[in-house]
Amino acid sequence: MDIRVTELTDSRNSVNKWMERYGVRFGVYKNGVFNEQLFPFDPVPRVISKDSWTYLEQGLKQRVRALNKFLWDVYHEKKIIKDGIVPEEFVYSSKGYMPECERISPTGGVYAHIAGIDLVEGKDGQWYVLEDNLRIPSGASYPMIARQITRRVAPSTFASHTIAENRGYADLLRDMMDEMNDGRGISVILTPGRYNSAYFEHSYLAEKTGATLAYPGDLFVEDNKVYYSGIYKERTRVGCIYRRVSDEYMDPLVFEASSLLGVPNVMQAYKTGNVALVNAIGNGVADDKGIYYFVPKMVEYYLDEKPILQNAPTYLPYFKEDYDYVLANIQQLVIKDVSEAGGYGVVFGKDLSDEKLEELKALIISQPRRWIAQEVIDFKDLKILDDTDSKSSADGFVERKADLRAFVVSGKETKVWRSGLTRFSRNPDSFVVNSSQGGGFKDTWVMKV
Amino acid sequence: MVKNTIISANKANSLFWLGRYEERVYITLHLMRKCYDKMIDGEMEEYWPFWQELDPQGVYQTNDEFTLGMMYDDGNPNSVMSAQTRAMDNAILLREEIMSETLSYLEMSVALLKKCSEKQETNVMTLQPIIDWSLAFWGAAEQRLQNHKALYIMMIGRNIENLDMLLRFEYSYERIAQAYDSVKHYSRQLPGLLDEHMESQLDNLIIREKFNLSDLGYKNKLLAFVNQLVRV
Repeated sequence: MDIRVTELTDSRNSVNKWMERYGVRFGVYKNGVFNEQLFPFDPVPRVISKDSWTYLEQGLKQRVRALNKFLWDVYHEKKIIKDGIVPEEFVYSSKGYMPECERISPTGGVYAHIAGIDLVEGKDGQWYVLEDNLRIPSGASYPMIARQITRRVAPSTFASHTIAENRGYADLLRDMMDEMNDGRGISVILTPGRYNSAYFEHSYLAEKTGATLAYPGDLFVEDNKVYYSGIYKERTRVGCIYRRVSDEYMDPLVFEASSLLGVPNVMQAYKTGNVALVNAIGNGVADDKGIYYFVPKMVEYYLDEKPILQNAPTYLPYFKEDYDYVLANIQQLVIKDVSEAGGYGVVFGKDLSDEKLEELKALIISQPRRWIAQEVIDFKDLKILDDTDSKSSADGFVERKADLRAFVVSGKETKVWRSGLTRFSRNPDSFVVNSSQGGGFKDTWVMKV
Repeated sequence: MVKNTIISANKANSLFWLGRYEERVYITLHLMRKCYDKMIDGEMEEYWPFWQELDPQGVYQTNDEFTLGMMYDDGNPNSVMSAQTRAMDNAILLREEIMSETLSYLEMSVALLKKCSEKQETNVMTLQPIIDWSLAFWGAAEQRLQNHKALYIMMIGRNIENLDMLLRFEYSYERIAQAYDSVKHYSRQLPGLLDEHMESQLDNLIIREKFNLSDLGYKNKLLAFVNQLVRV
């Protein structure tokens, strides 16, 4: 594919100025102190051909449909457990399983309205799913605003390539929220507040979708209905809450009693079908790193289809055969703690000293359910503009590991946003791309032809 | 999507203080420019009244200390940096109300202030873009705020701050009566926002026959009532 990005790379300073102008930031807590920083942007886009995208789109829709069916099943009939496809230990010992959600039927049967599926492309061109994020996946706002800015600074680039529009993400969200709301009232985005790491995104998506950004204390429940309260004690009914607050803080009367971030009694309103929660509570059971192993099996079980997307080769020490393999080959594997997220709790066997390897093995032996192990995928490096002083490369570019978070929005239909968040590691020796770990991001171009 | 016309207590508070702080930025810079002009080649007594009002605690001793402190000292609540940062702190909570485009003028102002502060730039005129962006901010707010009540709360904040500064700097009766009138104009759209008792006190005090800002008791009473006029 002939892609010319000189105009973009030459405009890097302009892009950064626009980013600063729009306050494109994310927050990080370090040693208990909150700091906001600009999210480093690389002007060289990730390019996905039309054919690759068609394949990804079909695979992503399939995967998310299966995950939604799994969630329904887990909180209702539990057929997949009874049929021995997923061991019950993996469901009931998952931190994300919420017994309080048993028999609750969300609007339209949809649990994961917004799914962030993390993928990597291998050097052989094969895509692998690394992780499903079904609770409150973040990151869509960054490519949205990056596209707006890059189109301004490099219009010729966009005139000379046939790139799919990506600024319609807000429309996808709005339509989905309208469907879930079903005319009950206003839709709100519930944010934990200014000092949440993704606050920029909460406020930006509220602006772009036309939803109201609600803070803790703005909402209350009366007669099992949710209301937004005004300065003069007036109220308006809320029909849909796109909540960016974690499950355990959503309702202090049901979950964490000390939570000031949630809405007392919102679970009762949700249970009686008077408000839609986007995403549903309890989704963590399906994006648990242990459950990930079973997703291709879910596709076959619920949809009677062959899985289109592949998982990275994964081992569960819970199974004897995998346990033996992991302990014998730990040095070649990446080990993940199933209870961690955001790039934390991920260790590469090759990076550990003998002593640390033994410690890790001991942990796996004592708690095999807590860990998964994966083969290290030799994934494709992406070109990024060298922003270091060393200028180690002759052409001004260096290669870094990158992933792709694809966003799948499910309302009455399941749709894939024709873009995504491409995150890259800024450290040449690292596979970890998370913004909280110092990673940057790129625009993702899906080509139309 | 169903449109929400209700403003929460939190947002009303942020809107009001955004209006106040942004107006404080504008007025402080306006006064700093006047003062700076006199400091170029004037005598101390010509700019001393500005110093006294802008730095009532008398923190700064030299012209450079005063200029740098009033522009960049975030620890000084009277500085441009402090007011601009507080304006931004409130604005950031209101992106979906005021829109990113409007917010961007404040982002640029904060960024410029930080850059000038790093360089310890003493020429007040380098901050001229902040005046321009402040005016652009208000223009954008007026044009883009779809919820008129939100705009009125901001405008009330803006005019309360203006009134406060006019009183402190002992402007004429006409200017003060006009600013008070503006507060009342916007509050008519938002019944209940003004404290009735404070309003009636001010109605009785801001009249030509009683107007005398050289009477410190009168001036302080006005300032106290103005600052307690709005209930957010």
